[in-house]
Amino acid sequence: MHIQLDAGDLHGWRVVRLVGDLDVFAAPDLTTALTDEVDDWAARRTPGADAPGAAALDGGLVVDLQQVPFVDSSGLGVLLGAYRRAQAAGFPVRVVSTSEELTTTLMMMGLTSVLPVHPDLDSATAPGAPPDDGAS
Amino acid sequence: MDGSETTETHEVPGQRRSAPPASPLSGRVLPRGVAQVRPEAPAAVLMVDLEARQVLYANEVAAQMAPSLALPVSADEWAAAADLRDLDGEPLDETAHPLSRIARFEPVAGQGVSAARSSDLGERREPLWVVALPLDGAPNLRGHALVVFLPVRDRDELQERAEAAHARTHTAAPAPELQPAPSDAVAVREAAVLATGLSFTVADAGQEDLPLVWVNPAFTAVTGYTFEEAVGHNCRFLQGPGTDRATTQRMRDALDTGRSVTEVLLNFRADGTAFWNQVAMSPITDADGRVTHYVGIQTDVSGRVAADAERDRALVSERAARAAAEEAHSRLQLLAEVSTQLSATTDAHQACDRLVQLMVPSVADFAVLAVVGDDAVLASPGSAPTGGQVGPVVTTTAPSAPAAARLGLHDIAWHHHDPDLRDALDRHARGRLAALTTRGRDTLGLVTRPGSSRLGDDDAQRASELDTAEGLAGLMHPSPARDALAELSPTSMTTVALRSRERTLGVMTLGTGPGRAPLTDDDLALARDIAARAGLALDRARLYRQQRDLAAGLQRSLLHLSPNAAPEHVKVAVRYVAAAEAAQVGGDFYDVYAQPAGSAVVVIGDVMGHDTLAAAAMAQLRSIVRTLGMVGDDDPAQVLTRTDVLMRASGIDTPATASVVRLPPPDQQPGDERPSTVLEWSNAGHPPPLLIGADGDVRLLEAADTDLLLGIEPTTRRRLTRSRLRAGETLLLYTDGLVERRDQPLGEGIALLREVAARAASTTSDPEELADAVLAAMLPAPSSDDVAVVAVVLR
Repeated sequence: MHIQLDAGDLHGWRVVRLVGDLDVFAAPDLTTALTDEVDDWAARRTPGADAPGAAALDGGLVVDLQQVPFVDSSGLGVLLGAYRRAQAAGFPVRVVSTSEELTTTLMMMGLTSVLPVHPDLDSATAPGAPPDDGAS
Repeated sequence: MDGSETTETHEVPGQRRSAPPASPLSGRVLPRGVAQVRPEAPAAVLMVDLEARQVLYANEVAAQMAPSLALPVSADEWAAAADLRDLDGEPLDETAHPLSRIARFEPVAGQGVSAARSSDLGERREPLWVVALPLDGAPNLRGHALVVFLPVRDRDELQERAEAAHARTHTAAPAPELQPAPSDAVAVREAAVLATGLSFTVADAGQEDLPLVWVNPAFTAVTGYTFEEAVGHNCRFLQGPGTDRATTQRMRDALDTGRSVTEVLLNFRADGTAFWNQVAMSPITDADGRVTHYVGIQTDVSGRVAADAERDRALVSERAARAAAEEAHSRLQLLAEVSTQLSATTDAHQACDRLVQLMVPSVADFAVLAVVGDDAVLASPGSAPTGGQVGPVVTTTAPSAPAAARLGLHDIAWHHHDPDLRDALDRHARGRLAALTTRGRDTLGLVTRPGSSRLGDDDAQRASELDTAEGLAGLMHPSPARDALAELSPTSMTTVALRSRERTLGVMTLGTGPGRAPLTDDDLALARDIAARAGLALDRARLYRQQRDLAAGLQRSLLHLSPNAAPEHVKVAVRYVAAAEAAQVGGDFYDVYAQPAGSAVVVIGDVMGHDTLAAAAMAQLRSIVRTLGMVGDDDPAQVLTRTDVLMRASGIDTPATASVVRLPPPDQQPGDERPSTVLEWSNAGHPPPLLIGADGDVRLLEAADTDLLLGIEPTTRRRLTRSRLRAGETLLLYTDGLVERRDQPLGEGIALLREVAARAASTTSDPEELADAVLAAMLPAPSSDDVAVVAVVLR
């Protein structure tokens, strides 16, 4: 019942990949981990920098849920917490998932507007991706 | 007599006066080539008339050596029947034959011979050590000699040789003397035979009290008693204080029935020094089978006994050391077990049961555990003794007198190792606190008082000293509980406090019965260690329980709907199913109220999280929605929008889903047979409510896009949607616990719910029955999440 987390930079975005169930058991640890990621990224981020191309760290946070089979409401709460923290720091959060269930749940809770879902990492980290591009 | 001779003929002119002590090598590996007689093994004994060269008497073993002979018989015949040869199986010549030698009045101090032994396995040759002693000076035995054949210990080598020799002589091989095996022969002949410390006695069976009639000089050497001193007396003069009476009794019994017997007993020399004497007594019989004499073969085995004792002592101390190590280990294990067992449960009662079970029998024979009630707090003694009340006074609510007498403690768990005493312990534990005397309460107060030392070791120690069996009478009034304690016959008792955060949560009494050693200092230390851990575990369980009770109570009170909360035109049924895993409190809520203009408003929501924080946020959120909804006639979208703003302003940042549905009073539309109303609803991320038609048609109240849930973005624009609800149709609101499970995605769950709702609606139009039917179908097993359901029917 453990969730694993690893993170890296991609196309100027911070990508956090999760492996495991995102449920009530994983929530406490994950809350801490994601909070740290958001704060670190807020500190490292260089919005509007003139650095050429991929060197600019001007993206937001991508949470890769492709290897997360199950998300419950506690898990969604963790994602929402990250969203709110990122929002305060001025950058967006996107979700990568191809799970129909997750998309359904996010849509039902009206969350696709704040946590847009993308089918893959490339589209999630594309520079001009509109916020809800991957949601529909 | 000290047996250092070789196996050839030997004489020891004059016995030494001091026999060396028995070899400490006894029972150990002897050097190669050294054999040893086995004085404890049955020896063959003959009594020979030297003049007549006749064997007069023999014991049973000797009779077996020459089975077919009837006594008296000539010594030569006997020797021939026993097939006595030398150790190499060669015939003994006249001069070397021990019987010939003794017939020549030559004492034979020791000589190796071999005798044929017939058995089912065929004929074997057994090496023996023969000693032949003229019975000089024995009354009535003049001219007689004692001949004893002793088996040899560690004789495998000798036996092998003897048997090989036997085989050679029986295969008509060339004359053995032509093909000697010189080295072997030398080895055998040189093999020393240790017959150390052997002495011989003869007692006359014909005289009363079996007086000794002869002892050999070795006897004098070993015991210090001269021939003259010994003869004429029963050999019990060797006994003294410390001689085991059971042993002497066994010897007497054997002799009375004519059996041989070998025992080791503590004897005393003439100078009073003690020695361990191994005595083999064998009756010898005459031709008629009448016991004529008892021949004793005695060995000073003090060295061996001492060695055995030393070995036993070493074993005991090794065992003790190992036991100590094992005990230390098991104590650590026990401590770990206490923590594990008590942490595994948040049920205090269960934890206490486990604790007393763990104490018995590992620490004590019985254990009784009392805890302070959840609603009571122990005051320190002396801080509030009022109205003549002595001892600690307890409480938050006014205590009853018995409760005060019990110091707020309740015995809730006890266990006795012995099933037969459990009833007595039961009677004791049920009444012991109420039966405490003033002194008993004071004593218990010493244990329970929040001490300056954190764990109250000193207090507990002092109390345990008071709490001894003798002192118990003063601690308890005469009562069934005291009588029951007496039945337990405690040999030691101690009472230790279970503490956490400076507070006493309970006391544990441990006691031992007559069947085991009283509690030691180590036991007391262990008990205090365990009590400390148990105190922490109990405290955790209590905190958890209080938190849960608080949250659950809050939830219950919040979810209570007053009977007239709903306006006349709707009939409402609500259900709340708590999660089976009682460890969590849900944030689910519902509400029904009326707006000033008469509309009914139905709210359902779910605050994220399952803790007290979520329960508190739920309470605030519900209150906000209700307040905003009731003060005016805002539509659901306006209510939710303002709720979001107010949540942010109030610092409630727990995300929550909610759905608000407004049902204005119905009106009769022209051309419509049934009254109906136009629902207005807004949904903040909540699973879509259902509209269940009487015809079984089920629709979801959903828009293309659901609005964002509450608590995220206060500026979220919320939409209002309208749907028509006819009389007899049911509006069903629910939380995700009804439809979402680990093995059932939300979408599937909602699809299932639609089917279930349609079936239920086809059987009933009553909201109560419908809610029950839906829950029964959707939650066949206890749910892992809380579930709220609201069913509303337009009247």
